[in-house]
Amino acid sequence: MAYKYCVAENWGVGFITIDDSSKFQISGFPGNLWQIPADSRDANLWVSKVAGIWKTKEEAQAIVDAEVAKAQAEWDALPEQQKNNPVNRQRPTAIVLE
Amino acid sequence: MSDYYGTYGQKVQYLSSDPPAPQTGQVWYNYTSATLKVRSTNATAVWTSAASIPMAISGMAFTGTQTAGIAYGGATPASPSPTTAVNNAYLHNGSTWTATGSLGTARYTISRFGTQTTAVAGSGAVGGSVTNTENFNGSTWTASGNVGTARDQGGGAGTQTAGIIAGGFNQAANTAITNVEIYNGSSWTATTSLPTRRTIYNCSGGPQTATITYGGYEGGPTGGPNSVLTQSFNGSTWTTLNNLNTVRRGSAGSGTTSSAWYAGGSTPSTSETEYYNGTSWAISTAMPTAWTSAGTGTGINGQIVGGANPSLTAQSFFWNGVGSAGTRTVTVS
Repeated sequence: MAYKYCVAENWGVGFITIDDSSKFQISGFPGNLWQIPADSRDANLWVSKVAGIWKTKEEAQAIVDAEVAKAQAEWDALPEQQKNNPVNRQRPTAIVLE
Repeated sequence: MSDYYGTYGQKVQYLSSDPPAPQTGQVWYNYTSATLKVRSTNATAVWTSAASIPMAISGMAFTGTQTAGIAYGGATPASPSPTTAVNNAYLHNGSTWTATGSLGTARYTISRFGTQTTAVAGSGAVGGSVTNTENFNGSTWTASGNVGTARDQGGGAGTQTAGIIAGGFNQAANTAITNVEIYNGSSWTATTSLPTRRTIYNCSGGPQTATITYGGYEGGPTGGPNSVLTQSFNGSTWTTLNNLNTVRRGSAGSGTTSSAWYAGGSTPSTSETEYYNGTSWAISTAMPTAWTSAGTGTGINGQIVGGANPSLTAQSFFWNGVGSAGTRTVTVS
């Protein structure tokens, strides 16, 4: 499936509604990045509703890469004994957008 | 020809805002948004956005319902500082979060159970595992009897006067444990151990004598696998049920032996969601984001809050399974 991307801040109730969720798949990524189907009129209307800023796939990947790199740097800076703490999870891994 | 009045016995209401508690089948016109709406049951599971909690946090405890929940404790691992446990607690009413009385002992990965006004914080971690227990009364937390075996990431279920914690991780021994204890509101008593050592964290629910636990981590001092086990407790014995479909830990979940959900998690990070119908688990609608987070509710109506994706987040989402009620906009063209 082909996808499109936008950046939008999740304001809470009403950002993704039952109508939205029922009509198309919305997937969120680090950096307030949202992935939606490329061929969905409903998805395009949703991007308008949330005042999303369109991003190309390359731009979207760069946003995710920057967020993951930031999270990896935070994890690397933790004391050794805390890296094993379950709250700190595993070291964040790269995310490759479809 | 029948009309709406003839079929339903009511006129379509003309309202400035959506009714606060619409009945399934009810139809109304919202003249503010110029939309015709209907309350119906969901044919597919859906995730919808909820209000973000006031602080980005992981390892938080969360119990209650979508419209009356409480989130408490957690950790804020901000670089380059080490993990810092917090004692903050927040009430959620379905649309907003409000700060309430803080825990006496800051900690994360607490075993949680009870309701918004009768929540219990059992054990948890502040670096090492602790035994502290606190009861909530709707506004303040009061210290109660200590858990017998220190643990964090233990499963929790039941009520403030008939609770249970199961499994977890003992930091001093560096291993997941099988120990199970029941709670009467003031003290803990050891009971039948889990068949398999597991952390369980978050993924548990139901009453003390019909508890369900699932997933987690089966690791000992030299490591171990994430778990696909589902096990239930009837007050005296544990029974192993059908496995989860996917292996992960740090997932959100909650529910009962007849209706439970299980979402997200890590190693690797995933957005997969599963639903338990009392017999088996099935893959359901994926979470909007790949998260480790805290969860509450049942298999029909749940909620996740906070967590990491991979940086800490304050976002929250509602989970509504098949058969749950939801308000939809009627579209005509």
